[in-house]
Amino acid sequence: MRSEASGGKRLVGWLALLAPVPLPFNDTLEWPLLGIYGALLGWWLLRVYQDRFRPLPRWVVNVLALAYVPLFMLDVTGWSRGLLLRPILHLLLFALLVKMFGMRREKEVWQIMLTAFFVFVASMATSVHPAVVLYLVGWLALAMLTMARMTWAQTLAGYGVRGQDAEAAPFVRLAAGTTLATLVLAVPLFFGLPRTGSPIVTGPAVGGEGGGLESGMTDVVGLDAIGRIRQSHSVVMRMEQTPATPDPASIRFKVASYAHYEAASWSLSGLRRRALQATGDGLVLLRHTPPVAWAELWIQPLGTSHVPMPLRAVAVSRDVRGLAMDSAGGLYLFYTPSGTLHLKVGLSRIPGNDAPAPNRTDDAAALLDTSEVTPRMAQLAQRVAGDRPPAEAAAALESYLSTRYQYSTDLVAGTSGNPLEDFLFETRRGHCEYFASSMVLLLRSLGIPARLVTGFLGAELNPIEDYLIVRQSNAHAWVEAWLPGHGWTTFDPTPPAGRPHEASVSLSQMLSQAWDLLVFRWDRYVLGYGLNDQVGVFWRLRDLLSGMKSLFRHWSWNAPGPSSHGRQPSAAVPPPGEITSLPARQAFPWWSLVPVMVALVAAALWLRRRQTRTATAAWVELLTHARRLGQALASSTPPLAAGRRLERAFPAVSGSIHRLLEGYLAESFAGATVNFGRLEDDLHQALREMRR
Amino acid sequence: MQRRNGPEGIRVTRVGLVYILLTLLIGLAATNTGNNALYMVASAMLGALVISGLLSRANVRGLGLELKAPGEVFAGRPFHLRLKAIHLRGWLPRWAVLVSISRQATPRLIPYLGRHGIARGDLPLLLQQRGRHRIDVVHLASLFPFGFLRKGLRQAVELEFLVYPQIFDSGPALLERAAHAGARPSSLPGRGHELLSLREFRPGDDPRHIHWKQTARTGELIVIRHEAETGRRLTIVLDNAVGELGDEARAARFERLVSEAATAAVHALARGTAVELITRDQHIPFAGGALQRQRILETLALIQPASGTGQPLAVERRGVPQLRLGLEIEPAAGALA
Repeated sequence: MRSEASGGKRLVGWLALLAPVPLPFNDTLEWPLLGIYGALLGWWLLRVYQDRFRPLPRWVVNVLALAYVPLFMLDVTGWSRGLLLRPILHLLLFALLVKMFGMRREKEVWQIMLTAFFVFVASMATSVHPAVVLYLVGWLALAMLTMARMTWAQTLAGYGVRGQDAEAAPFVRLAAGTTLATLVLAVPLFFGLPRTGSPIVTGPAVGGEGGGLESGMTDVVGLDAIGRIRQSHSVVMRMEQTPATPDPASIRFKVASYAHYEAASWSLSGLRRRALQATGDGLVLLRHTPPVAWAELWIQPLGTSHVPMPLRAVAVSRDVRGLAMDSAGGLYLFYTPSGTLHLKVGLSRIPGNDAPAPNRTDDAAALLDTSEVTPRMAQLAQRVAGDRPPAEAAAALESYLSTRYQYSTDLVAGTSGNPLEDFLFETRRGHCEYFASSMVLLLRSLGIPARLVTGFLGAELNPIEDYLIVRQSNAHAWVEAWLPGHGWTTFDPTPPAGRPHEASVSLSQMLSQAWDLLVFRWDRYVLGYGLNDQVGVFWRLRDLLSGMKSLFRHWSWNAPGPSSHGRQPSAAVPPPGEITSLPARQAFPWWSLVPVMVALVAAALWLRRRQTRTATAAWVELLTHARRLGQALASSTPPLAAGRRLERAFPAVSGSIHRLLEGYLAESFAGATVNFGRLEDDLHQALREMRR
Repeated sequence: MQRRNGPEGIRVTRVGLVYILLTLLIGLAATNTGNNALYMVASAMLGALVISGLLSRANVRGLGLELKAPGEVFAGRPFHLRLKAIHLRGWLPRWAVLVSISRQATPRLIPYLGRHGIARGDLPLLLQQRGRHRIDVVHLASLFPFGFLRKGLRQAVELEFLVYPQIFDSGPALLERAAHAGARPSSLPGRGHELLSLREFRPGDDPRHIHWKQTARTGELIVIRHEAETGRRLTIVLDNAVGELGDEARAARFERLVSEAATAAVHALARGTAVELITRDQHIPFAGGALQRQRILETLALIQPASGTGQPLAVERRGVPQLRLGLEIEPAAGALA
């Protein structure tokens, strides 16, 4: 029993040690605190394993508990600034430590398990990473092992069974089996447990601790910022498009437009934002162009209210509330989302911008501001563009910059003190902002209204499930210029080498894409699973069942129906969210299962029948059945005695039993060949009588 | 045949109650917050609860139970039933199964029974009444696997055995009560060699008396019965013509008489005395040895009051001590155990 008691202690110790592990990853617990906790608990485990553990005296435990009270108050009011989660976690961990060091009685083990369970729940509730599943499985298996062992030890102790008898039982296999069975059962339960709304998912923002990207998402953007953030490979958003976008490398997402340039920084002017309202058919219109395709965006928390939008976006479904648009065409939310933002976006065939003309915007003056244009810049613009019409002038400047200058993320300071002057006339290389900023100023010097636009260019195609991944390394800057007769037009003076492009696929990239798919689906179908998804699942099940029903009525071998998204372009694309029934023709794979199942069942029955076709097998089957009914027929009971007992118990079929016994004896002991055909009826008769 | 197997319900333990409450709490938190991680925890907890119920149900099923009574069982004397548990079917082993004769009795624990394994143990029992005793069901229970639920099952067994009358310590005193002094000790042995008959083996029979040829022929153990030798003798006369016993005192007195007869017979036979038993409806002639002991004890175990005729049971045995027992005969002082 002593070994069982210490075995239970060890397991509980491991449970307590593992419970808070995910907390620092979720910024819910400080790493030093976890380190101290782990060190103390590790020392405790060591003492238990060495059988040298001595519990703390009761008075020490009481003093520690009292001493923590002022610390707790300080934690709540001071360190955690009124937030309760961290102080409560600190308290739970402190209580666990004190309990474990002061553990004397068996029932305290259960108390420790309960406390560790609450820490485990806190760890789970604050985790968003897919690896939390491994943590759940591991902790579940350990908890099951602990509970099984402790229950068994307590039962044995209650009946005076010694500990050495306990060692022979395979607990690890039991824990593994029950964990597996629990997980199999838990999956449908997870999807079936009732939801009342959309889930609340919070996670760390892209770009680090402070949230938000350093550039392109804020009101003020420095010239070197985008070059820096492009070093990161973090995923900013994912996109699924129906039909698939032909060239992922050319897709652009606009985030913000900047008109004011001063001291090497662009800033948003206080553009008014107008709230967008849904129309009668449930869409929020961004442009007056009907959509020809649809896309779904999953935008990671960026720590900003800006919403990246494809340049081809013309509408947004009304699922997202609080949308607004400024006069430059930038899309915003009235709040900063803390979780993944899911949008359904309607796309036009070609990009466009319905933003109003410069003279009707709030920053009309800024769009033509030449205060930062130096004489050399103006001369350059004149030399390159000359007296051409605005459209040609802009194209000429774009071509000039993209062919005569070099893209580089290495910052080399010039001598003029003006970074754009240095770029244009000395270094002749720089980030995309330098190219875009230069073109904006050059255009303004020619009297063409222009502004800087930040966003993302290109995306990485995940071929596993045909969706696009946009990363921070896709961050980019370009130009919007107002051309009479054309409206706001996009120009990109960055050389092709400087534009984000899809590199050749390497093994590491494939692994990265596989991992991204896992994270994407995790975010979408686990963290983001909500009431709408649940209703959708039930509707799909219903459609599937009705599709199978119609299949039995209208079975056809014809060609398959509508394809899944991304495979075939189609003009008639249903808007997202509409659940379509499974066409009868596509249910052929299901139909093919039916004869297979029938064949399997028939084979199983035939095999079983075949196995019984000896007198010996029939006799064994009879005995087995009798035992199931409670007849005390040990394996050592002689067949004659067994036969007599059965005949007494079931007199109605004593004749059948007798013949079966004779057949068995003749076949097994006399080497005779018995015709089972005659005995088959006897067997069925006897079994039938027994079952009555 | 009427099946006596069946479940005996599920009882939620304290640990199970706490677990269920925690599951509800987590489920409520998950529903309120919409946090899918909490839904994962709630799903896992619910899954574990279901698995626990299924496993505890499977843990008490598929066991073959055999009970065997010892050769001689006496009323008022504790004895042990030999229990044999066999893992009959299923691929899961059995853990911590509690087996008891009744739900109130102290159960016997089977700590672990592997696949196709056999476990043996004893079930203590104490019966106060003589006669045929039948055990129809055995109660199984288990807290496996996590102690949330205590699952019970009733399983049919077929065990019938005879409980002999209670044996007192007052054997010598009873023998002294015998009406006449015993005969001189005889030098002749106590077992005869004459074949009397063949019958089925009973617990307590001498294995040397097994008739192997008959045994092989019939498949049952067959023993030879020999005639008893004569020597020192004792006649026990038990007048069971007492009619309707009516009140408890008379019934208790009758039972005591039966026990006294058994006590006297056992002690006399142990001394090598040939004992004869005479009742109103049975006569077991003089014989000694284990067989006679069994014969007498079986008779006394099953003896019932007979209707009274008003005439005392008179037995004439010249030179043979007689122990007369009847409700109208006053017991001697100190005869009670």
